[in-house]
Amino acid sequence: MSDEFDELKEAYKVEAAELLADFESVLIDLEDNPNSSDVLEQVLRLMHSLKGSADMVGFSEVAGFTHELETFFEQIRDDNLDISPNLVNLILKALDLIKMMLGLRESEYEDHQAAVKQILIDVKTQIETDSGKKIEGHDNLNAESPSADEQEVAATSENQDKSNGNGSSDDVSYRIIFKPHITAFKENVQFLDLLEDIKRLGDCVITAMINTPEDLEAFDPEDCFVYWDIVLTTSRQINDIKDIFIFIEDKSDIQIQPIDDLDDNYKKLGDILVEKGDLKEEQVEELLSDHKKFGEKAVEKGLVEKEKVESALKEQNFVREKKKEKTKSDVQAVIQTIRVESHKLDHMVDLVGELVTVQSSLTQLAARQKNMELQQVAEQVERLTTELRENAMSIRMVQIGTIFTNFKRLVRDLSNQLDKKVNFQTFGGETELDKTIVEQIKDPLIHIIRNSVDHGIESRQRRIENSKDEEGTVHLKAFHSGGYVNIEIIDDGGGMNPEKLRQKAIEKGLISEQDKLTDKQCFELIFHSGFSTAGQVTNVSGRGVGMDVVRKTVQSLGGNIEITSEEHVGTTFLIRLPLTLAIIDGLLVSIGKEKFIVPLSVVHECVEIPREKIVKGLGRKLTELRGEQIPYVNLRDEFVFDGEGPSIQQVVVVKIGENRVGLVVDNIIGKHQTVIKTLSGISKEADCISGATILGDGGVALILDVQKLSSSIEKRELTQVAV
Amino acid sequence: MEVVNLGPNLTRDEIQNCKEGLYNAFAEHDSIELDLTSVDELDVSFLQLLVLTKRYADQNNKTIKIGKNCSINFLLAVENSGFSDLLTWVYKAS
Repeated sequence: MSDEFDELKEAYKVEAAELLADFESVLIDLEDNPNSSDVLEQVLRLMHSLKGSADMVGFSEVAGFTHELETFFEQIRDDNLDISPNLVNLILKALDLIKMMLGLRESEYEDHQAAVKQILIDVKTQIETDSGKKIEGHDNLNAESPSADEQEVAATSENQDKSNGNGSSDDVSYRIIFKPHITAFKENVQFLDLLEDIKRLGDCVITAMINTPEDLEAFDPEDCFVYWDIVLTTSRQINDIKDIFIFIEDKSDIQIQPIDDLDDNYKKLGDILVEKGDLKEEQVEELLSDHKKFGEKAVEKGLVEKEKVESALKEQNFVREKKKEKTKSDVQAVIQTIRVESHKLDHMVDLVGELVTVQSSLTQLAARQKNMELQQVAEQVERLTTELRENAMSIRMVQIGTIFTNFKRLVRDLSNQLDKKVNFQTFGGETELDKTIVEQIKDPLIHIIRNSVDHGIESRQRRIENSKDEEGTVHLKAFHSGGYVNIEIIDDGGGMNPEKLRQKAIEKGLISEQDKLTDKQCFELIFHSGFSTAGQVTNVSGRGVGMDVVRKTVQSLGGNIEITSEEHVGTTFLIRLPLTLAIIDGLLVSIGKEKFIVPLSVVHECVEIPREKIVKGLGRKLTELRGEQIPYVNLRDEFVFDGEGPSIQQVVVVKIGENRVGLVVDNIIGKHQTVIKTLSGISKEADCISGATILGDGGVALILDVQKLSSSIEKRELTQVAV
Repeated sequence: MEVVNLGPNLTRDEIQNCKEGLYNAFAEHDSIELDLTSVDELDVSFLQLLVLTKRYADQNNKTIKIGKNCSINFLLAVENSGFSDLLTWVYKAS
């Protein structure tokens, strides 16, 4: 197999994983809204995409399996059948099996054929049980499993979705030969309405033809001599076409054949006439030996009526035209979105980072040289670099909702397993974050949601006893707040008792009896390694590992996590994450000869304050700003710099959540595009530093983790007060 | 040229009368012009009759044409039922 084909397969696997995640989510929606035709259509579209692409890259087993499932769903839609939770369970199992099949080598498929067949049989039986109806078709489920080739043919021949023929890649052209019986007029068949219905299915060309009665004078005008050749391009199912003829099938002869083929040039006129039974092959051969136009020759020789040739010509032109449209739309689809391997994107951002550093050097050089022309060029380069940086960063941004879809399945399966009723809702899935952060935050979120369902939400019985709704709720919300994205996981479960947490920590030797902790500090105990309050260890959670890893992961992403909880009311986890880990806008400040970066997203304002305006209250250093006292941190003291700062202090006021904190520095230099470089070794342990950046002059500036800086100082100062 | 107006209803219910009207006109005239300005309702049986009458006329060296300003209902029915090719002479006339 060629490398190119392998690449295609790999690309399909990525696409399929996304489709399967969406599928799970939509399926769960369908369970909640079993009568929603929109959701059912979504299911069918997803299945169709999964099947179509699988077929193209050679996953014919997957295509065949999905095709069978799709057919079941079509029957559910067409017959308005109910979708039971058991059926959803089976389909979810089927999706798991597809996931597994995608990871297999072709030679390993055979081992899974029995599982595929069994699931299909189970699905069929379930639909029959739910509906009390016998499901027709799927004969292969009674006999041996269909061969890959058979499945492939089936999947291809019905390769359509619900949109109408508009040149999309799912369109199929059909030739319909519709010959009403001679009595059709007398039976009041409404042909105009019927033809109108066909037109609604897609683009079509309709050609009426009339057999001449033997006696043109004595014929009965109530006898029907008309018949139609129709070419229809549609993405609807062949059954949708057949449905239109349902009331006339015993009063007419109807042939519906797919006529799409993959060649760029549609069939020759002779081939069409042979296929339609208007000419024999040997007649075509004979005509081809002459040099006139084929159609003209056929008519001249009296082999076929002119109108039949014209009908075939119409079909030929129509299908060729459709092919052109299809090719055009395929090309457009490719242009609209392209899939790029993420490491290429990472490399691009790295290069943009280097460019930002070089640009910074250029700006400084231009300023030093005092050369106006050079300064103008430097400004232009800076503008372009900023734009390029913003573009590059926006490409890396992905919607956090891409991982939300996984959680619906998680909550559904967990609540079933624990026999709890949980209403899981997500909000703000469209909130964008750097892809690296989204990838890394998934596992911590899984852990917290598991905990919420397992430990947070009470059993049905307990909830009823506590006068709560039997169904608990878990909400997952994402929203922007300043330069951060906040993610909240809120449950209305039993909440946490801070005293119980404290006692548990004492038992485990994590704290001593004498330690006085605020409620917030008690809640934070759950982030200690080995801490678990679950009465019983389940395979869901409660092993005492995980929450410490959750906090470490969040912190490694430059974020933080907070808990608020009220016993019997519920618990909220708030995760605050930076938008990106690559390049940020920063404010360059200096203390002595050292330079630091304050992320611009948290900077509220910059002010100058004389030293005498500084006071101490409740153990914290406070300064007055427009009549309001705000805490401040003197970075010169914090980082133990020798000497005194200037008499007029420069204060960078930052806003963290709802709180403001002043950072006292010697000088505020200005805005700086900051390419974040991670620290290693001892520097990594520095709590209040989140990274470093290279300045235009080649120097290094440390990036302040304002949040950690503020909270560590707050803790220290409050401890001093307590002492 | 004889002008024939078959009335507003050209459906199967009236198709025998329509045929009679056309063929009777041909019995007396070699050329007829069909006035379809007032057509309100029609179906495929009338379109079929029109095609077969034209074939009959061609066979018998007679002519039939459609008068100008035929009703929109008629033109739409021709278009929607795929009769455009069979009735190109209708378009030429209107």
